[in-house]
Amino acid sequence: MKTPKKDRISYLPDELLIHILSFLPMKEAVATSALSKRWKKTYTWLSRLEFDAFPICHCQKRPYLIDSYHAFEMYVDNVLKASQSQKITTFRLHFGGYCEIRYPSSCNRVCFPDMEPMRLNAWLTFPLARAVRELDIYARVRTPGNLPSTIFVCGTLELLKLDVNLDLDVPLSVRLPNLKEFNLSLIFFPFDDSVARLVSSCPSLQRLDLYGAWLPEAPLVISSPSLHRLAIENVLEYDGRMCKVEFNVPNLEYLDHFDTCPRSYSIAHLNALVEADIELVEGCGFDSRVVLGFVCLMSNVQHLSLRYWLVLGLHYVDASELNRMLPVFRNLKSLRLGCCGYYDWNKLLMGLLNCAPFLEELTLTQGIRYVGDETDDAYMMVSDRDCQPWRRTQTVPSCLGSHFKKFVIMECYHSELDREIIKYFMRNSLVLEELVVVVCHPSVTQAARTYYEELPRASITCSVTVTDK
Amino acid sequence: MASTSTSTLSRKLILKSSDGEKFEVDENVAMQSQTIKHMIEDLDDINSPIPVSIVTGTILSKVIEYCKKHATEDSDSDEQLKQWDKEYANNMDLNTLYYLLLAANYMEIKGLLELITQCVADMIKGKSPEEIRAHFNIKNDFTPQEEANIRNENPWAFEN
Repeated sequence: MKTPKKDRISYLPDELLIHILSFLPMKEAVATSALSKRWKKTYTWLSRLEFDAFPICHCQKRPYLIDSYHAFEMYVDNVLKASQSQKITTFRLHFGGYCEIRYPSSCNRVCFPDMEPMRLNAWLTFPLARAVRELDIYARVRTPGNLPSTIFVCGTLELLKLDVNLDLDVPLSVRLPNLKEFNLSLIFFPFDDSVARLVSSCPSLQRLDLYGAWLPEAPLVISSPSLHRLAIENVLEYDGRMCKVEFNVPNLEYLDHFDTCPRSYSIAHLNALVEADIELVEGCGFDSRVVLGFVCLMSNVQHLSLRYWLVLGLHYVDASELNRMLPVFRNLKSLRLGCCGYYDWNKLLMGLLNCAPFLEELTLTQGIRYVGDETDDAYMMVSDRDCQPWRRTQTVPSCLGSHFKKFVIMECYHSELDREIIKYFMRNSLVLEELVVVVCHPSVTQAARTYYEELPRASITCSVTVTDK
Repeated sequence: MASTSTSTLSRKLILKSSDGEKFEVDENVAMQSQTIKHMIEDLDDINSPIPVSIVTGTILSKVIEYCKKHATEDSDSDEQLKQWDKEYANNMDLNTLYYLLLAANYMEIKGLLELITQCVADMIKGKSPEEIRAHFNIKNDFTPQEEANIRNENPWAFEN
């Protein structure tokens, strides 16, 4: 492109110049202040402020650019001081740790920057007085104090993301009337009721994400009539103690629940639930009643994903109890099941399919046979159990005759059990449209393809796809 | 407004540029401009030309090209439309981009404004202040001392 004779861009109206800068990374927008006098203060009108200390890393194991941290602090100070925008729509501040592991237990506080509490407080409170709508804070400091409690009385806030090693100082009266999305990551969740209080005080809250460790002393209570989407990931290592979970979320549509500890669940009806993805790790896996009880709560879902450990838990339930307890999943269209290495699919798969009269799609996300080895916990646990052969004589679940359209097997071994089960589905699914087999090793692709393509099928129009990824 | 026309979709409007050039366009093409949309609402006779006072014929024809493309729904996938947008913006020289930006802003055509703004921002992105000045022919009116002060105040913003 030829160089224009005139500088046009500098003569754009302020609003357009600011608009252009808003499309740039914050650092580059600030750097335009060195272009000319016209540009010197333009960036100060930006309403979206984003600060990120990346790639500075204070971790003692792999420190990087620690000497630049002072320049980062100065930069944030100066940009905030110069800012002239009365409204800050978005404020993002990320600093203090970029370790590969999220909460490295081997890291201690020296791995985080030493921040003056006054300065941090000034940074965090800056947007609160400027009608901020989106606040996104990732902070790790050496001497953690409290988050400014004024965050929790910010009337304009619509989205709040906090991933901090600071303490929550939730005031007695929370005022977040417009908060729709709340994403909270803490290393340990507080013992008191502050999170429960916070959540129940947000009348517009639609989406809640919680990540961290709940100690057994701290019951997890989520009560919110407005909530549509809830994602919980508890990463606490199980220490044998039981703790309480209470959900009162009558309008919840999406649930993502990953838990590592056995809990006593007290969950009010989930009639609005559309989609659920659940994993209850190890500890829960052995109290099969807890696991089964949890699954029974999902009776209204359309899409259900049950993962590895949860499936193991279900395998431990007696056939009679399973059949007695499982509700009819009247809305269930798609089911995804993990595989834990316990191979009696007769009971579990048939039990579930018999309760899902309108099921259209089944995906076995980790295959039919677990492909682990001796180094794997689960393998050790189930290795003494025999693989149960598939019994072909069972009653055919009604969904296979009317609704079942797609069967996907990931990580398929092409073992005898795989072949038997797939053969059964092909023979009995009257309206099947698609069989997808993803084999776990390219060496069996060809053999598997030939085999599955030639299987007799009840639905002649069914397509068969066999791949190795 | 008189409802003599049986099909509102095929109604034509005449847009008149600042230098007097006239363009006949389908109403749904012109209505992508919020400014024109508001003007028509107040207009008694839609057959009289609508003045687009600060936009020249050359620029207006380019604006209309954009609006036409974006008025015909579901003929292209989002992906194809994005590709078209990209080529459209890349074919403009800096002067044209400048006037298009003003036109899109004045005529309130959000998509076009975002497209051109993004295009100009992409020209700035990844460049040092010296390179940006050279690209846009921006005159550095700082004294060396003034410029050094700005850089020293925010070293974090100037290191890469």
